[in-house]
Amino acid sequence: MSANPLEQFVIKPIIPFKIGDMDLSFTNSSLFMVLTLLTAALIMLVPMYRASLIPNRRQNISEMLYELVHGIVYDVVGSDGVKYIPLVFTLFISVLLGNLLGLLPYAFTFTSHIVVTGAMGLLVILVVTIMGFVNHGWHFLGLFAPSGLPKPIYLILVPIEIISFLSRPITLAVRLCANMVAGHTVLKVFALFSVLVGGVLGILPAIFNALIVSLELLVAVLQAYIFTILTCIYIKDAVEPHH
Amino acid sequence: MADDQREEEFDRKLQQALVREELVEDKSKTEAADLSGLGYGMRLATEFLGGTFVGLGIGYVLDRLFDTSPVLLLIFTFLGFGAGMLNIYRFVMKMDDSIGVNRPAYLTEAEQTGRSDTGENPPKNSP
Repeated sequence: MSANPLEQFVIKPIIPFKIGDMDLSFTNSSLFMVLTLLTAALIMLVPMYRASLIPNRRQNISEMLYELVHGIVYDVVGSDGVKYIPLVFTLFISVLLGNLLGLLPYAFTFTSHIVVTGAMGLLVILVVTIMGFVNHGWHFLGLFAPSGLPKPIYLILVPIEIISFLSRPITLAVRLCANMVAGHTVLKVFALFSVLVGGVLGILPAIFNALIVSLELLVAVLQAYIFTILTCIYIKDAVEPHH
Repeated sequence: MADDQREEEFDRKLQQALVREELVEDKSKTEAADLSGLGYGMRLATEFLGGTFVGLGIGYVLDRLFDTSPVLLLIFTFLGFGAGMLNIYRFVMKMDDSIGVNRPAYLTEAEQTGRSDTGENPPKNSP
């Protein structure tokens, strides 16, 4: 293991693979995305294979996860948001499991890469924009011009509103990624303290690290939750763009 | 209008009673505990920087397109500052954000601005 606390975020190819100049290797990041997919399937599909009206314990887990997302979408977007539940649920479960699997020792956290979270943020904002135009046509642009203001104000306000709208996927991506990078770096640094101090005293940073792991568990779930709820708030703009 | 007021009054009293009887959590209390100070600060920072950098990026790209460097870069960076401040304002006033389970955005918006007579009929909470 390296002493560099940022070493854990390096992407390493496991199965090198190239088409022309494009590097399409199967990396440690890809591996953990596949593991996330398999874990999600294990949690969601397997208990539902023989779903019963009275759920058993495993079925309860998947139903609770679904009902959590259903509740968020229903509360934030309203009853029109039901058709977005598959999208929101997919984002929620991949962020949640990506964060949690990344906390395992030797694991790679793909949500700590802004490429991944940025792609998720772009997906959300593309869906919002496209569905906004599909649902409301050109009236969707009314989102950028709140009514009832003096005319000259619009000259400044409309660009600001557009920039604010465009900054959403970036804040969404940066928040998740920064939280993951910060948490994992702190964990690694305190683990290094243990090694450097050594001996009996070395147990103190280890105890502290154990506490940070529990905090990171909270952060992992909370960030997935915030990502979900913000996605819903943005989708709300596509469903009803009147402020 | 009188009916609306009575209905609101009833909802408020019902909510208070539910909290008192511990049938539902008091949302006003749990909210502060949900978001730690560090998380709050980080959100503010990303909201602001996000706006600024998008403005900067737009200005840079438009400058490259029209060959007007650095006029548009400056204009759009300042607009980006504005957007960042707007993001922060919305976040602090809880206008486009709601943190806390079952705390819908439309409720916080109405609560914050004190506008209960917008004529909108928000959907009921439970599915």
